[in-house]
Amino acid sequence: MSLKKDIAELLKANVITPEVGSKIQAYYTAKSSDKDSKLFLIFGIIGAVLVGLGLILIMAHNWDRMSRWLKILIAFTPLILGQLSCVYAYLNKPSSIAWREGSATFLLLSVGGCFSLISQIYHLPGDISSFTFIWMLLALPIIYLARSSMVSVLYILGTIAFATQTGPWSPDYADRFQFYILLVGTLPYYFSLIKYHSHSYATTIHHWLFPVVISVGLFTSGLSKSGFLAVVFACLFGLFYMIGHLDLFYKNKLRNNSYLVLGSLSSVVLLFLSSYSEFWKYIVNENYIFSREIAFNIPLVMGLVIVFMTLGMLTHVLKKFSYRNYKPLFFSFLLFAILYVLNWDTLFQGLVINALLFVIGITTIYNGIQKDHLGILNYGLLITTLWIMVRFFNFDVTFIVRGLILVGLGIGFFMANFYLLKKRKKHVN
Amino acid sequence: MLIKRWVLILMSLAAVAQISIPALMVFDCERILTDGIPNKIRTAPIDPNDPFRGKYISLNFDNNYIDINDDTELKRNDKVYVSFQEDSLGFATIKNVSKVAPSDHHNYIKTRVLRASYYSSLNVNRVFIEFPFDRFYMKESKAPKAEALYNNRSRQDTVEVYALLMVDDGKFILKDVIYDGRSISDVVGE
Repeated sequence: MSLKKDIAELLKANVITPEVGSKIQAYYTAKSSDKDSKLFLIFGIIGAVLVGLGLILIMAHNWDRMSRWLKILIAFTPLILGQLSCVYAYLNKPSSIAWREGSATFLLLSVGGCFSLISQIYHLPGDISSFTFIWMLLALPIIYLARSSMVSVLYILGTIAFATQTGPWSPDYADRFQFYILLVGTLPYYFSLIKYHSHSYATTIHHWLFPVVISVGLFTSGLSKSGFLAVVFACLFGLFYMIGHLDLFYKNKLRNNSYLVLGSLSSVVLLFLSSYSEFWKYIVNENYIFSREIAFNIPLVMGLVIVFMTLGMLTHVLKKFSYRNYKPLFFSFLLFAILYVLNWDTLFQGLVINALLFVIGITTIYNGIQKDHLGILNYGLLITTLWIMVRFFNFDVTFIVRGLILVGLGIGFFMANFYLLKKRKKHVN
Repeated sequence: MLIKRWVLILMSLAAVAQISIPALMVFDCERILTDGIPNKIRTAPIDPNDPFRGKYISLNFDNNYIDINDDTELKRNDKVYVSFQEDSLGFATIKNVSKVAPSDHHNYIKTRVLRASYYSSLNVNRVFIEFPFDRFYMKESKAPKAEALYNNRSRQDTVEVYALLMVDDGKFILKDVIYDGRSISDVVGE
């Protein structure tokens, strides 16, 4: 209402022409209808999830007065309804994302519900990993045929669940071919999102989920029994960090650059862990790739693939940036791998990692100031502070010294932030 | 138009797969229920629940082992075929455990080894087997009653409780849990 009034006022005062006035009006009308359809989409999906889960729970009550065949019929009903609603959405509501996403989400849940009920009716053993695998496999076509990002998100969550259910601690653990099948299944959809909808929310959510599913997959692979896993993880985190520096992501806001954020955070955590010489003693003891016979299995091959991909990405990133813009985290995986392979002395290994952490902290602070970014500045300060605290508190120093260090760090935090804000103000003025 | 037709064809194929896999499960289960060999296995139920499939009574077994006099290669998580036989009271006991499927009879299930340990006092290797038919789903309100019923039974210990398992060539269906000659579902429903 106020917009209409404003436009009328501006027209009256001859500030804008009637043509411009109607253009402004049209712009805001389109914007608000876009907002409405987004809301409709969100409520559509939430509705489908609630109805789907509700039906599963109602059926879990186990109505024992019904005959077995009636129960079976009821188990299939939501599944068929879900399929029909997907076809209806495709034929009659082709432009409605809410219809597409809602019906597809409902279908995904009803596939799982159908399996649960049949297992209940026949008291089948609760083998959760094969249940998840078949469920996700049957859900896979829904992603592509209904072009549903919500189903894709749930599918990736299912894949993460499957990875944790089939880790080396599980009796179902094998070479985990099935995990890779599930993972590869959703890749084309992810790539199509990147290509055609690179700025949508769905793509951002996928960007956050993909590094997670790959990391969980690696953590639960058979390599978790060996020290080589730590090297593969160092490479993977480095790979994520460097992917975050590709044009596709680097220009985005930090919250949309999941690869850079996750790659940096997880690399720093791994470096903190490996800054203790005990860490190196542990992984060298577990070092099966060099001390025992090399058994070529899928996890090992995947690990090697990750190592080579990271090396390839490093050469790409080094070509892309001038040497002044190189980041220490580009090289941390390489240093980590060299330390692991050389295996000289655990004290030396710890020392090198400590030096690296210090450099990372300082360069991050410098970057934060350069880019005028409070988040990056404080991240750098946090790394440096943690590093100082962890290192100095290892030694037996008096409370006065510890106290002084903490006070000094606090003042440092305050000063750095103050400096940046002051610099910002200067720029504005 | 051509794309639309193809999408519809693929949608139908996906729908057929989504329906046929659970449907095949149903047919398989029905086949075992009609053609399988019944085995009565002594049990001890308690009551937990499953977030998706609802309440069930969890069955424990105390005769899920076999003593082997010779050395055994069997170890934890090995996939094995377990053959049943009937004892003098009509209950099933383990007749044999092997890594290959028996070819001379159909009364065996496919499962895995829980653990194998040597008992020096008996001079035998005792191999414990996982009985995977350990869940009997019941109506929400009945499962706790079934649990209470079992707890009373264990104090008196005069009533016979067993799982009725239909077995056919490695596959199996838990048909019912029988309490004092009747389905436990009927007993707690009164």
